[in-house]
Amino acid sequence: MLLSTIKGDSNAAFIFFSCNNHNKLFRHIISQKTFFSWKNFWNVRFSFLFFVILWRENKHY
Amino acid sequence: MAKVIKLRKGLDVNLKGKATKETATVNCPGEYALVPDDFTGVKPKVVCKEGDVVKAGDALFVDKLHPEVKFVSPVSGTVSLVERGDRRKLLSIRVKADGKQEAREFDTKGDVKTLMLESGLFAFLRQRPYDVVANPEDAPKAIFVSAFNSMPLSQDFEYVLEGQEAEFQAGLSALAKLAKVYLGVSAKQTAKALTEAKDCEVNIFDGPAPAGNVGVQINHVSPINKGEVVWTLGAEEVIFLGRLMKTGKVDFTRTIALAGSEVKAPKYYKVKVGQKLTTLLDGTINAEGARIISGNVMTGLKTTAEGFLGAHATEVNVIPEGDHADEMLGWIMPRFNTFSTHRSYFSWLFGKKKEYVFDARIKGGERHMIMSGEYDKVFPMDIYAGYLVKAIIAGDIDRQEALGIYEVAPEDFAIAEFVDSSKLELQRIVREGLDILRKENA
Repeated sequence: MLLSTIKGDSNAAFIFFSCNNHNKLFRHIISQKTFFSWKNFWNVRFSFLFFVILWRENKHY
Repeated sequence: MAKVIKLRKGLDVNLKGKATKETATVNCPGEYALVPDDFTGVKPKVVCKEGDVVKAGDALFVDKLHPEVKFVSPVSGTVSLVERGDRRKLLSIRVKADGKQEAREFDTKGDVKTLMLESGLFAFLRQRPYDVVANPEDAPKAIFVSAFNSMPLSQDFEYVLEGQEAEFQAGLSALAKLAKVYLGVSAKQTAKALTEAKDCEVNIFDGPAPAGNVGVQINHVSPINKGEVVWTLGAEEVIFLGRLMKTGKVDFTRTIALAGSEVKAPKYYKVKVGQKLTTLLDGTINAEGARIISGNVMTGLKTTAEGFLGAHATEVNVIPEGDHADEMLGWIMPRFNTFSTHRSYFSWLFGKKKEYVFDARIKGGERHMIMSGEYDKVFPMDIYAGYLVKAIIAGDIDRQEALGIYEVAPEDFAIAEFVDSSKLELQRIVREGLDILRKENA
């Protein structure tokens, strides 16, 4: 089975640094398996969300 | 004057360890293997047994559904092993070379298709749709040959072609007797044997990877509709055909690129299809913690030094495995030496000529699929790659057809798989989708 052995950006680095496209960024954030739903998302502060992502992503790196 | 097709979408990744233009030969004696899995879509039926003495060009196995398609020995010697796995699946047929390289003689005066079927060269032809070994009963609309590979660390075909121009032209002329031949040439290639090739239509492609993929070229030159079939052949395999037409004997000698950051002196080697990699890799790579790939870093298969060169492989890439890559602060550290598609790191400040060392880490886990147009930026075909992948996962055949699955092959998704921040195995998904579709349409 064909497979790309090398990979581009890590999930986390992509989400954390590539803020040039906010639409893309938001969609990546909400796809994380956090307990935030789309409705609740707008109620939480960015900083806290990034903290959660940072913690989750480091497990995968 | 050849038509120039400019492609804007795609991505060039500049990797360290490109092969220098210098060719070495390696010792040939030893074991060779023909692996049925290299020929997608074939149900192998063994026609030799252990201990048989074979010449180069003698059949080792045939396709059960089309017994006229033969898969032949690249060397003369003795069949040393018919390797089978679970449920008696044929894994490989190994031939111990005798070093004499006696080859079977073929009559080159007759029909080209019959000659290709007899000599085993037909097995190298692939068909679209489905990206499988071509069906000899089909009448293809056209035959496409791509004379360049735009993937990182790939072979430079213009260099390989030096001294074999006549064989290449003879191969093209022979193919032209089967169907119209389209030759895809890179804008960087200047060899007259390519740009002024006869008996074919030359199209020049100018753009980043994957412009060298034959699928991309088909999409821009003559897209496939439902019910149509096109065949494709690798550029070096055209030389195999040319040699056969000139001498009447098969000679599966390739000039492959041994490249990658773990290779001590990356250069070209003359080897035969199915050659054991030990002959190539002994002393030439930093073996500890290295990932050996038969084929390209983007589309190749993981193998070991004990493995064999794949039937279609034009390069062997060796990169670090990355098992012990401990980086302070992990991914959050700002850095200059890491490649980033999305400018996550400051390495973009150094321009496109900077070379990067990649290892085999996935750098993350599999995530939900995000429709953010990430694939489309590097997918230079008139196809919505993201939607097509979704349709394949969902098993929606009507939608797959509407989105143009007949034109794609797994390798076309290699760059999309590289940039995908959701870390999906796109090439595996597309291969499985094509296999299911082929079964349904059979």
